[in-house]
Amino acid sequence: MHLRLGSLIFLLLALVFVIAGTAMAQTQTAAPRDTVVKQTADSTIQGGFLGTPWPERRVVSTVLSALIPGSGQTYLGHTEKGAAFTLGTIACALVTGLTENNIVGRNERIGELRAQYQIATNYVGADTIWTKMVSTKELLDNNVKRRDIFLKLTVALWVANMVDVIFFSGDKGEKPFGLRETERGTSLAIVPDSRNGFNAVLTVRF
Amino acid sequence: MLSSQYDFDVLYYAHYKLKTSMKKQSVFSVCLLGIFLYLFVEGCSKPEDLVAPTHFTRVPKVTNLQGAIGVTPTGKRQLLVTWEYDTLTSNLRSWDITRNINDTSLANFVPLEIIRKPSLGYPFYSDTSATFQSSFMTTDSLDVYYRVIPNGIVNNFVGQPSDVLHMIVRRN
Repeated sequence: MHLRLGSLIFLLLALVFVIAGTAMAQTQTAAPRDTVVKQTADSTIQGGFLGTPWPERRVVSTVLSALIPGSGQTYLGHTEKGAAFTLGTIACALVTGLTENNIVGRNERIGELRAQYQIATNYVGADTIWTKMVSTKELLDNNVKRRDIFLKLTVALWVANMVDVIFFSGDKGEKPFGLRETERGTSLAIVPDSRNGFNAVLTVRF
Repeated sequence: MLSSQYDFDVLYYAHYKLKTSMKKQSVFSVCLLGIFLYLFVEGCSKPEDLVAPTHFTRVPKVTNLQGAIGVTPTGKRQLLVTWEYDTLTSNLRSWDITRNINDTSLANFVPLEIIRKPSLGYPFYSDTSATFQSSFMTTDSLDVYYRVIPNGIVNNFVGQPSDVLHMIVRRN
């Protein structure tokens, strides 16, 4: 199962690199006068994404998403979706890493117990060590299952993020840094009410 | 404001170089990420396997442990303990006979004698301690517990202790 998962991941990675590399190769380098900030809405890719050249922003978003899942979507203006991809992928990768750390530790523990078992000089001691080995092995198997599940989730989220940024995330345009269209933030207001006295209103804009 | 075509060409070339280097860095970053992800997946630890348990059969177990109370030809009370073992297994040197009187805790069993493996037949142990003679008994009965522990030849491995044999000795 391990080998098949690794081969599948490698094929997916190769496919993404081919797409990104082809897109990069087809990106037209603009003259200096054309690098002024412009508002473009590139929502659909017409005629197949490999056939038409990609804008620079799309290439940047693809590379960003490849490096940090969700960052490409955020770059194109889909902040909530990007944040969800980022948090989801990082959380799954974190659980995978922590579980892998547990597996390494339990493997070492089983190795130590095996060495003690082989030099045991009596049945009672050997049986005690054997019982510990069996229980450690059970925990190890559970950890391996958990790691494999979260590793697959991490890879699935990363692949979904790449598919989303390439096919389903349109460019909402570039905004100058610091400019907000609407007021963001949280506010709490006490509003007088003729019937109820006072009402507390909590507003969150994001 | 660009003053001449030469200035424009210089600026365009500098911009082109910058773009190309940025593209190379992007391709390099993506390739590096690919290698990292592949190693991340393929570098996962394989779970260790358990070894085959050998301590169960390393030294032959004591089976069919039995006891009987009798009298020797000289009139002394005798407690006879017999047991069997797998004669096909060669890793066996002797047995330790342990005893406990009126106490069931395993830690208080006292070793009595070492019985060597007989060349023929099954082993036995005859206990004619003064403790069991009626003249020396201070109570009406005694609860006697025996436990037999086999010893192997290879590495002097102490095998699985037998079940506890319980015998009641009554005063005549």
